[in-house]
Amino acid sequence: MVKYWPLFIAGALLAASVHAQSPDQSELIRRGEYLAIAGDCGACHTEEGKAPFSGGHAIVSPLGTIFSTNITPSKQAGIGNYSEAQFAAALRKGLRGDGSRLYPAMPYTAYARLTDDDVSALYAYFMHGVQPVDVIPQQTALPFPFSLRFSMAAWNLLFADDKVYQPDATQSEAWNRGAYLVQGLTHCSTCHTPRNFLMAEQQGKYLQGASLGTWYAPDITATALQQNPHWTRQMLADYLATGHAANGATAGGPMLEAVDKSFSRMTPEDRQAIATYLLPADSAATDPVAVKDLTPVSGDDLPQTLENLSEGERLYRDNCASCHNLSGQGLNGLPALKNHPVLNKPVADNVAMAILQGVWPEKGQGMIGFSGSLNDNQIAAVTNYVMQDMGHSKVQISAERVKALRAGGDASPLMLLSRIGMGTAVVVLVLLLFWLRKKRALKS
Amino acid sequence: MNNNKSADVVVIGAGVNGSLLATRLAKAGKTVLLLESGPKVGRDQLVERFRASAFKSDFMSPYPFSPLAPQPRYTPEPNDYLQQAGPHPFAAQYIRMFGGTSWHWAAQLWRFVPNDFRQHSQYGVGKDWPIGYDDLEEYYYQAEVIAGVGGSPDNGSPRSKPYPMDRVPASWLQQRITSRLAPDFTVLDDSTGRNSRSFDGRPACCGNNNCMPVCPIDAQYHGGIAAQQAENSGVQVVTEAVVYQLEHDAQGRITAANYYDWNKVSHRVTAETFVLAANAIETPKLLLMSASDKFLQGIANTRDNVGRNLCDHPAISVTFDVDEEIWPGRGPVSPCSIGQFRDGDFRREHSPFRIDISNASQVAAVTKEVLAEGYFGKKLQDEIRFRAARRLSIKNALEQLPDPNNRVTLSSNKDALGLPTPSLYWDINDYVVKGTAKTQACYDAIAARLGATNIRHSKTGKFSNRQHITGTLSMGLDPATSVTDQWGRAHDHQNLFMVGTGVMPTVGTCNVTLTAMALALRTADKILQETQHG
Amino acid sequence: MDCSHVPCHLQNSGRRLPDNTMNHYSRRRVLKMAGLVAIATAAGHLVPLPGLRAAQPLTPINGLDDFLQVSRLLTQQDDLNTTLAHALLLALNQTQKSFVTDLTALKNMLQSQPALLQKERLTFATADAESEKLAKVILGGWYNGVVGKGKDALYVTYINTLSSQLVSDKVVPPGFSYGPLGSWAKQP
Repeated sequence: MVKYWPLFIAGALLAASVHAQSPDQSELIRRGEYLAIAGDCGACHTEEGKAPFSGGHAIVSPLGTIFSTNITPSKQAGIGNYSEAQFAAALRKGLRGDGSRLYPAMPYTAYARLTDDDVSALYAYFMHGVQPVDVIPQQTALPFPFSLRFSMAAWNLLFADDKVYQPDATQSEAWNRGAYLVQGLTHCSTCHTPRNFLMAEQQGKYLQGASLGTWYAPDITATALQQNPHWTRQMLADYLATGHAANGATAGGPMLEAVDKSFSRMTPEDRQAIATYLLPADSAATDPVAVKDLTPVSGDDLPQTLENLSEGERLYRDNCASCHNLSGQGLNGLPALKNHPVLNKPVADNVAMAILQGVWPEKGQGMIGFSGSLNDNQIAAVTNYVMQDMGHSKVQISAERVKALRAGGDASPLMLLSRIGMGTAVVVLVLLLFWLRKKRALKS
Repeated sequence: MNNNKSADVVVIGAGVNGSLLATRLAKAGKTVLLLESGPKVGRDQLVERFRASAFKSDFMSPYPFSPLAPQPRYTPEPNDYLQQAGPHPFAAQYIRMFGGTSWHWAAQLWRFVPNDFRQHSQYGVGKDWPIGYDDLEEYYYQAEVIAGVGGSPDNGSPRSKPYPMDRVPASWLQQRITSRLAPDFTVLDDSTGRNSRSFDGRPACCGNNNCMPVCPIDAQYHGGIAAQQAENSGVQVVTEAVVYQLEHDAQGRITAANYYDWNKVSHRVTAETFVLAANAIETPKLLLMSASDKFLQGIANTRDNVGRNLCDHPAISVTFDVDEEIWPGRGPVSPCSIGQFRDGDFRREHSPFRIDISNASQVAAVTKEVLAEGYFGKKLQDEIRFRAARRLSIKNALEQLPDPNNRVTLSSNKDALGLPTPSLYWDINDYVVKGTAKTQACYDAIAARLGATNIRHSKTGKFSNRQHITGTLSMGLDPATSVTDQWGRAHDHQNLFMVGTGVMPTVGTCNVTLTAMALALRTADKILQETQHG
Repeated sequence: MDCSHVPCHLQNSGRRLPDNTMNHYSRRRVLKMAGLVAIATAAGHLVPLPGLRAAQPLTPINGLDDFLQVSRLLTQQDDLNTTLAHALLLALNQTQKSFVTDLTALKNMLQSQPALLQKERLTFATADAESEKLAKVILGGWYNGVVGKGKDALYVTYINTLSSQLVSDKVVPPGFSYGPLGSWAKQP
């Protein structure tokens, strides 16, 4: 970890061109590239099928769709004119080069933790390690009043904490590295911390789990990680590397994307550091699951049983059992659903989302989605069957919630509240004007 | 859409070829109505029906049957749908359902070899096609991209671009057989539409070994996927619509199609262009049923070619127990084959053939075999396990030359809707018989190389059907001997096109669907080109 | 023209059970796979799978004891699953009239002529051809999970057949996954 924090003299680096770089400059760019992977810039700033970092990726938020910007060093369409100071301000304070403000879909509240050295490295990478793309991507246009970007100034005043990370001398190097990553570049709390109604993270509930509208980012505090099915540091590190862990966990949805694009490409030491920070006291390792030659397919498929299946179980057998086995035992490396950590959450949303969308790792075996072949009632039925029968959970999902998940989640109350607020303000204003006119009329 | 027509184009038959054509037309802005005689059934229902079936070796058993859109069935007993009028029964098997017959295949998607298109000029037998390999090459590639096809590139079919899908890893069985048969026999990866990565919203194969009759996870491409894509592309699909008649005007333009819904209510639809895609038996049946005062022999049939030149790949098979444990049943069902007998000067004398090596689980088959031999107790267990581990099942695909006497006609029987059922006359000639002798020699050589015991050949003189049904709507340059032109357009009717394997004038040396898919895309382009000016 | 041979009560695929059956499977003890099948030798000395256990106590059926006894003699396995035996017997009664009577005859024969089961194959005297057929039918039920022929064929089980169990260390029943892509490449 220490080797990634070399000392550089910042000013001399900027003059170098892409081709004639000093070894120091190349090293800085390489380091910046790594940091960009850790920060997962590409998840938002690289659109599928388009040039890296050229923006245009749609981020569906409860307030509307936000499109990522072009952060290639293009002068017309990207950040080619940014000084390092401007770049740092965008990263840490959400300030664009023209002085306008970024929406916190850009996790600048987390990137505020970045050290100056890391900012320099990132700047070097984005200026000299990325190909400029002169195409302006689709622009964000949130509905009024959220189109007023200056309102972000007030929001930042209320909620943003832009202090650079300060190491804790009482903790180990690994813990500090983990803290720096989790609080900063890998911006875990952006998803895993619940937000208040003004969409700011609730600091008192750090990493305690939050809904992203559709997928649910679970509680990853140490307390939660030590509950059943519990995590060890090794499991966490494995999960970040591969999306799978020995306690049966498998990543899906946005976390799988984070694993594929970011965590799997980080160093094993950094993943261990993250695990150390999240689990300051490691749990005892569980006995390794017996390596099976072949998981037998087992279950009751006698005619009388088949006649009496509940809707959920029937759907499960017909749609899921060929990979997950008749009672969710899993099959030879295809995941078991019995006691799967996803079943032990306060909501069943992730199960329903996996069923709706499927699970699509970049490499390796995927799971097909069923949004086209099962309706809301069916998805609710099979989700509830899995939650109850294989997870022993009382948490259920309704068909209405499945319908909302299909649509991208419930709308934020913020929209309605702001519009009510605005409506009230307009009415008050109109009444005021009438009153003023009346007064004037009376005077004259 | 204008002129109060039901759609710009009416397509009859929602199998893979009709669906591909419909999708291409819809994406180009045409309004398309796709009529399917059978129902739409979900994959999960098919899986359920398969698991609870008492006839698992019959690949049709998961598929629903209705007397309103009947099809040939062989279990629990053969039904009377097809009348067999010839010396060899043509035991056709097809599905009348949204997605069609390729629901239950192993996704074998081969290109012809170039000489398949010109066997007459090259070898003095059979027929030449009105087009050549080069005319179809780009369409072969388009079809491969849609289906996600991968395989061994050195298989006799030249390629301008590599396969769009990486190969599916070979099972232990395939590795061992390949290694032990070399150098006399070269075992290739089959060209298949089977995912080796996530593609098209479908996951990679995870070895359900159930390609036939149904893949539980749609890791393989099939007509059901094509039909769904058609629907998703804006094609209007009507299922349970049995077309029974085509209407025409005085000039011979097709003006309407009449169909029964499953309540036996008749409906009439109109269009500028009509495309028949109801398979190589049902489309001729429809054409013959549509006889009128002007066209006494049926639509597209002034020269009496509809239904003639019925071909399949007759097949003989062998099973034996190899001298080492290879365990078929792990991975896809049809992964590999021997293609070195597909082409060569010998085609002057005898039929070429492909040899398919099965990887389907043999557990059920050997269980029946051992039980029939009277074993019981521990010996029964030992024998089943011994044979299940070593059983190799091989069959071939022999090229049959087109013979106008082999044909589809209408029988005098009627189905539940009062429509005539098909009658098939099929014979096998010397060209094929000589090919079987050569095949058997290969089988014996293969068995010898594998130290085989318990060798059982299929019955001499008997052939099974591979269901690669061609010829009945043959395309050709000469209307005197063909039904359609090189675009699949009926010689007799300007606005009537046909797609599917029926338009193929020869059956070639490999499974026929990819060729039919390529032709369907080419026909779609032709329709677009002709109708783009209003 | 028949529907495909799904047992009649499953043919109407449109039928769905009401959602309020949610509770009943908590009473049902579904098979739990705690361990794995270990094959000691290639000859197949099998550690049996944990057996099926019925949801509710099995309705009493005539001839179950005899059927189990005969089945044990024919399979030379002592630990045949009772629930499966029950289901097979139900189906056999449906496909063969006088099954229980024929079964008794077969049982008596096997008990009075123990030499029959010393041979490698079932070869009864010509006069006892019917009993020999019955023996094969019973074995077919246990090994294939299907009883009866043609129109009368009945499905009983798919994954719990003795055949499936016999090879479960090497292959899975078709329609279930072997494992992620490529897992079939290694030597079984």
